[in-house]
Amino acid sequence: MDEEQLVQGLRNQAPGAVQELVVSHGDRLFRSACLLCGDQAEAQDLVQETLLQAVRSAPRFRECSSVYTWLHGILLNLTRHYHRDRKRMVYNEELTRQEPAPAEEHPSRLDIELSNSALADALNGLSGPHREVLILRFYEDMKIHEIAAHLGVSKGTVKSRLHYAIAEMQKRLPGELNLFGACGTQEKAKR
Amino acid sequence: MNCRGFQHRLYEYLEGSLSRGAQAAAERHLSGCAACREALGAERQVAQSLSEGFRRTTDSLQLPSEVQHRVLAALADQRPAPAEEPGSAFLWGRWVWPVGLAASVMLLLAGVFLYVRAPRPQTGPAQPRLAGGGIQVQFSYIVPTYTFRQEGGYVVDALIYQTNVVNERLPAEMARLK
Repeated sequence: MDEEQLVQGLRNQAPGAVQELVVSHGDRLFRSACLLCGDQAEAQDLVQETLLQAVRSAPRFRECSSVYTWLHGILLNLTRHYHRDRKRMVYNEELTRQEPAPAEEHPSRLDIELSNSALADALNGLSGPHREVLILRFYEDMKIHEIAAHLGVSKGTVKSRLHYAIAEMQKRLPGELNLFGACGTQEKAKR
Repeated sequence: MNCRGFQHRLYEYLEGSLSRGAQAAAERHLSGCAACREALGAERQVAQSLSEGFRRTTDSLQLPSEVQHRVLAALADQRPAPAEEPGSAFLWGRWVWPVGLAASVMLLLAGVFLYVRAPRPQTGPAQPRLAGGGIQVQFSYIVPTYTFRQEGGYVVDALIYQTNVVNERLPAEMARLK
């Protein structure tokens, strides 16, 4: 099913199209939601609401962007409401304890757990707008002009937020945890 | 392009979205500026580390299958209920009030119509005069009754006409008024 057929199916609320939407975009959306809100249970709810809103608003989808970008836009809006309601985000440690995938440089399991936890904590410490640009840039692999369009801000604002967010992450992450660069583990190995 | 200009375009340079001219200018600047080369290398390292970090953190996460079921169930709930067999309890409950209201209006109109056309009591010499000055009057009128009831799954309506006969003594005072 290509995207056009998928959108057409969603407009008719065809169960097959909804299923296809979940299969093709559900996991990616869920992972992004976990990073954005920091809580798996909340991320599930956010993704569920995103999918529902997408199906309901499918007749108004103008197909100017990809289906995933459209879904992610809905997710971002919902996440902002979630953060607004919750005021203070508490990062779920469950997320940080996920079984890590092996990295190319084969760092130790302890390294990975520590760095994932540190990454989660550092991300948690950022404000919503800074967290958003970081995730869109480095998880969703969006370009500056795409992020600007996605967030409805100027490219200058995106670059400024990105610059600040990276600086904050560098400040918050312990240098020995092998996050910024594979050299961390290699250096430790040499020591 | 100077250092400030390069730093301003650093993200676009990394993602390869600069125009051909700006890209060439950036490369010319880089070839002669160690500080900007270092900044570029650091930025690449940050990008790689964050991308890998985010992926490591989330790679094993999968959307639970119950989310899909919940979405489908929520969509099914919001759809209008499928039409049931004619005359089912659903139709009865839905149509009983409109039908009842329409029937009441029709009944009222029919009553007025029939009242206007109802046979008038005969008066005049043919009316038998009673002792004491009163008269005996006799007339009939028709009362339409519209009914509807549920039979099994069906709504059954019926219009019944009932003829009432009046045979009364009209007092002398009223007979004189006429």
